[in-house]
This record gives sequence, structure tokens and C-alpha cells, in this order.
Amino acid sequence: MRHIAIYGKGGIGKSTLSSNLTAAIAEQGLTVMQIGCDPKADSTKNLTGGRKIASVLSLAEQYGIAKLELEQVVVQGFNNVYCVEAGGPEPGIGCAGRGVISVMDCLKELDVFNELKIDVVLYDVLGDVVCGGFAVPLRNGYADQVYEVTSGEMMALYAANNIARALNRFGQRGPVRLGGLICNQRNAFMEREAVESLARSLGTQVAAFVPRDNVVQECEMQGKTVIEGAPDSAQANVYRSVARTILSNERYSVPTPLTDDEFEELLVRVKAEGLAA
Amino acid sequence: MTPAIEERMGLFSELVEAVEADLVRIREGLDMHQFCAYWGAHEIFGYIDGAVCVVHGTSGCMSNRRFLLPFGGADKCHLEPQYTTAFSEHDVIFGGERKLAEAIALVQERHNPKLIAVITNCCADIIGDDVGGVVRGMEKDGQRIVWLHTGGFTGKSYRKGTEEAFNALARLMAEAPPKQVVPGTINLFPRRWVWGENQQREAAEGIRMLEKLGLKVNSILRKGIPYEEFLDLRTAEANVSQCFFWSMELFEQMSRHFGTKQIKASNPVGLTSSLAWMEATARTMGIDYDFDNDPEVAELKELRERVRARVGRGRKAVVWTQTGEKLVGLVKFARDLGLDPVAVGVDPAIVRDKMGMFRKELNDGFDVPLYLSSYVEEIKGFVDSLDDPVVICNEDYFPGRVVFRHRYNGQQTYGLEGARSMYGEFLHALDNRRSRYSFLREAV
Repeated sequence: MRHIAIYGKGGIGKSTLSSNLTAAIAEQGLTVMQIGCDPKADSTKNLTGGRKIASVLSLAEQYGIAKLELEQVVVQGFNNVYCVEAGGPEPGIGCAGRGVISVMDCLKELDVFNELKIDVVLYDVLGDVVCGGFAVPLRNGYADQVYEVTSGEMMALYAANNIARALNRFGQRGPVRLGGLICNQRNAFMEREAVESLARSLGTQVAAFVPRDNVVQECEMQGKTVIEGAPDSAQANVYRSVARTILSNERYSVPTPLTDDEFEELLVRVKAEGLAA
Repeated sequence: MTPAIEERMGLFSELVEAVEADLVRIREGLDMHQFCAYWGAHEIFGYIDGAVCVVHGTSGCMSNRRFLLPFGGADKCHLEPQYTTAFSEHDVIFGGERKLAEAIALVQERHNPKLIAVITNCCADIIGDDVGGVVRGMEKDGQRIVWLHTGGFTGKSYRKGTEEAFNALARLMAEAPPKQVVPGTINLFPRRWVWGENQQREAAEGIRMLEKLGLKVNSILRKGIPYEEFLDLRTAEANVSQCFFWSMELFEQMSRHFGTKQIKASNPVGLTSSLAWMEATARTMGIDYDFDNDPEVAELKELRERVRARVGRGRKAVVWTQTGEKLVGLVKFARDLGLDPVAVGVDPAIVRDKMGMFRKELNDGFDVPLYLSSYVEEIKGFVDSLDDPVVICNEDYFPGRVVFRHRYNGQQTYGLEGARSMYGEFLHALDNRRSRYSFLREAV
């Protein structure tokens, strides 16, 4: 069983990428589960016809977390993929990080991965690693492979470097490793070079470049992944290719994050090279 | 004295100054006596009859209250209403604000108290519940609601909790309709953390000492003081305390708001300190009292001379106690008996927490030699290096030695009657060394 976590800056396209990867992996005949670790609880929406499923925490509020059954917390979506949403509190109240911990404990208690004979678990985790709760997929024996979604924009790269800090810490204590960066292209200035340069500095690779394509939005409007909504499109093939890359990847590392000053220098250098060219 | 011991010797003032200048690396969490701000605030609000405490957070902190004697239930059935929002994991994740509003509404419905005090424990503070936001607007007519963030994880100590609670109460006093100050009246803040008959004796002795000076006691801060009476503390001309440092914040606030005089003497342990306490009170209140012609004072002086003769002048005393005021009080008591005290086991964390008190004492001329170690083996070694010292402490670490282990909680300690009790107990200790073989005493 493989546990793969997808981290990245908020709004970078983690959920879109995750759900397309989930669908693409399922196409290969593997049993896949996607776990959305975000209070918004919309990570798996495009796998379930555009409708948000009930989150574990919303169910827990109704029934009590100790009384939840596997059938309540797991919903089957497109191509029989399993979908789970952690959920969480309203913005500005409570502790969403503790919610993630609580949901992971619940899934463990229900033994969902073994019960459902899952081959691949994909964790789609909220934005930056803001507190210990959102780092749970990186520890406690959950995800051992991590991919960071970024673009060539500064704040996305900054978040990627920040997440690498958490991975550096947990990588020294346990088996979690960085499999690479995935560039969700925004067509930023010197995008490819900036992402490649950061990957080199972190001691990792760029696992994939995902081009920007309007078909993604068109499919989302229908509540579908591209794999489902436009299976013959070039973009669908990109996702299939990324899925194959991830499943066959053998290059993992404990990243070596940059200091803030080093990070600034890297960006200035890449930009200068771009302007000179 | 060996070089190793001499190396650890210094003056208490040096330690205070080093802590003040932030030159001492202090390990946190070593002070077993301090609890946290939650407990300090809980103690203060727990004094007031007609106040209901709502503990916002997990239930354990409040449950423990029952089992800690100073917080209630030591000598009588504990019937004060206590409420907690009893956080579950669900409340941590989703926030406990709604539950808090429900708890306050329930308290209003069941008790309609004059004062509701909401205090938080760590859980609620860590997740950042907006306690003030919930509480605002929930007050009913004739009712006040105060709230404090008292989670101990922030480093707020027990002392800080008492200060914040006193501050909140002082604000309520200031907001209440004004009242006239009655000249010649005084509030007594008696010894705390005692209970039962001894509590009554200590308070009665405080009253007696004040009445000896011709003063009228306006009010006594005690468990069960009605809320209105608490507010009316401001009608007294002055405040005096048997544990000044504990009540200092309220004294300061009352001085600022109402001009209430504050008597800054504390810990009347032994005749010297008791007389100093009375003299400071008389001076502040403009009373001329002839202590030299007081037969009770004369009698106690005679008794003290007998103890001094029995002790032997200039004999070393090792004073080991964990709390600040008691340390100062016992060092003064040792000197009262003609002993030459050395303080041991002083925790720099306490010095930092109670800096205000220690600074005041140093400014008033207090100092004492100090042997700096917190390890019982080293302190034993220090005691062994002295020629038959008297050990003043509250633990049985020194078999075969003369140990004055006064039963502070169960025995009268403060004031003239307290001095009499202490001298009697001291004579008893001199004649009964600690057994090497058991906790029982044996005759020499």
C-alpha cells in the first residue's frame, strides 16, 4: 500500500491535481482512496459528481466520532475510487489541525485501508503546514511519499520551501520522503527555470510540469475530473503521465530547505538570468 | 566548611539581583507550589459568596479543585456552585464558544448570581476561543460577568492569576456607585491556605491585634464573603494583610481608585515581626501605641528570652522552604530567636515570579546568607558541615538533627498568639531530635 501526500500553497491546484491523479491511478486497475485534509471539505468534489460529501468531522458532530462506521465516512466516486473528507470548523474558530489528527485516528480505528484493500492512498492537505495537525499525514506512519505542488510564482515557491522545512524535520525522524515538485504551470516569468532551480536546491527533482488548459475548468464546471469529463484530451494524458511517474518514481530524498535569504537570492538570480537572456 | 560549599555560598540579595538582571538560567516548571494562573484566579473568585465560577475548557482542572484542601471542602461540605464547559475533542476542533454561551445562560437560569467569573484553562486558550466576545452582552440587570485568560501554558503563574482576578474585582469596585470611606476602619486580609479552627484562630488574632491598636475592622477577606461586602472593602480607610504580597495587587488598585491606605508589613511570625506588623499599621493609621508598656508584649519577650537561652545565641539555623513569603518570615523568625540563619533550596523561578516582594524586602533592608543548591544530598552535606544547627524546614530530610518542623497549616503561627505557639513548639523541637529510623521523634 502506498501513501502519497500532496502539499502546496492554498489555491495552487492541489485538489484538482489530486482528484485527477486519483482517477488516473484508478484507471490502472488500482484501488485508490483520496483523503481531503482541508476544513473546506471539497477535495474530492470532482470525483463525486460535483457534490461535496459529508465530512468525517461533520458526521462526528452528529453521531460522535467513536460511533462512526466505515460506510458513513467513506464514499465511492468515479470509477469506484474511495473518497474521504476530513472537514473541520468554520473559519476563525476551533482548531482545524486537531481535526485532522482526530480524523486520522478515526480512520485508523476503523482500519479503512485494510478493510477496503486500498493500494494507493492520496492525501490532499490544506495549504502550507501551518501546525502540527496538518503535519499528521507526514508522521505517525501515514504518508511516506510527498509531492509538493507549486508554480513559478514567488509565494508558491516560498510555500514549497516552507513545506520542505517540515519534511526535513520529519524525514530525519521517520520514513517520509519528498518525491519531487509538481509544477502546475501558471505561465509565470522564468517559471520552469525557477521551479527547477528550487528543486535542485532542495535536493529533489521536478516530477512533472502540468500545463495550463481550459479543459480543466470546463470539466470542473460539470463536477468532473478531466479523466472523467474529457478522457481523450491531451490534459487527461498529462495526468495519466504524472500518475505513472509518481507510481514508478524511485528518487526520494529528505529535502534541504533554503533559509529565507538563500531563497531570495535564488529568485533574484533566476530573474536576472531571465532578463539577461 | 569545605571549598565546595563555600563556592555555593552567597547572599540572597545577590541572587535576587542576578535574577533581576536576567543573569540566571531558570528552568521552568520546577516550582511545585505555584500551580498556574488558573488556580490563582480560581482561589480569588472562590472567596466570594454569590459568585459562580465557570471554567471554560477541559473539566480536569476544576475537578481537582475538590481535592486540594485550600480550594475548598477541607472542613465542610463543598456546596459552592461550580461549572465547566467540559471540553471534548469535538469542542477543541470546532471551538467551545457556543458551549460557553450555553453554560453562562444555564448559570443565569439556575443561580442568577451577582457575579459570574469565567476563567479559561489551557485547552480553550490554545484554540483561541473568543471568550470576551461571547461574554459581552450576556450580563443581566444587577449582574456582572468578568473573564480571564488563565491558561498556564503561557507561563502565567499562580501569583499572576491572583493579580488578574484582583484587578478584575477592583474594576468592579470602581464601577459600583461611590460610597463614603469610614475613618479609623481597616480591612484585614488574614492568613490563607489554612482551614478549620486554625483559620478562625489566625483571623481572630489578626482582629485582636488591630483592635489592640484601637482600630475597627471593616471587613475580613474570607471564604464566603458576600459580593456586596467585597465591593464595600473600599469603604475602609486602610488595608492590612497577613500575607501582604498575595494581596498587594488589590491594595495597589484600591489605593489608586479610592485612596485606600496600604500597610506593607507582612508575615507576622514571631514577636519581632508581629510587633513590626502592628507598628507599621499604627504608623500608617496615625496611632501612637505604647508597646513597651503592654503586659502581653512583656510576657512574650520573657518567653522569647527563655527560648533564646535554650537555643544558644548565634547558633546556625538552616531555613529551607519553597515559598517566598514563608522564607522571609522564617528567616526573620530565626533572627527573632537569636539564631544565625542561612537560607537553602531557594528556587530562582520563585525569585523571578515574586520579584516584587523580594525587591521590597531588600529595599527594606532584608538579606540573608544563601547556600545555593536544590539537591537534598548537597543540602544535607551543608547541614553536616555546620556545628549542630537548627534546621527549619517542612520535610523529614534530616534524621538525628534538631528540626523545627512547625505544622504551619494546623497550628497558629501569626501574631502575638502565633509567637507564643511558635516558641512553645520550638522548645519542643529542641528537645526532640528527628529519629534516624522513623518519622517519629525520639527523646535525646
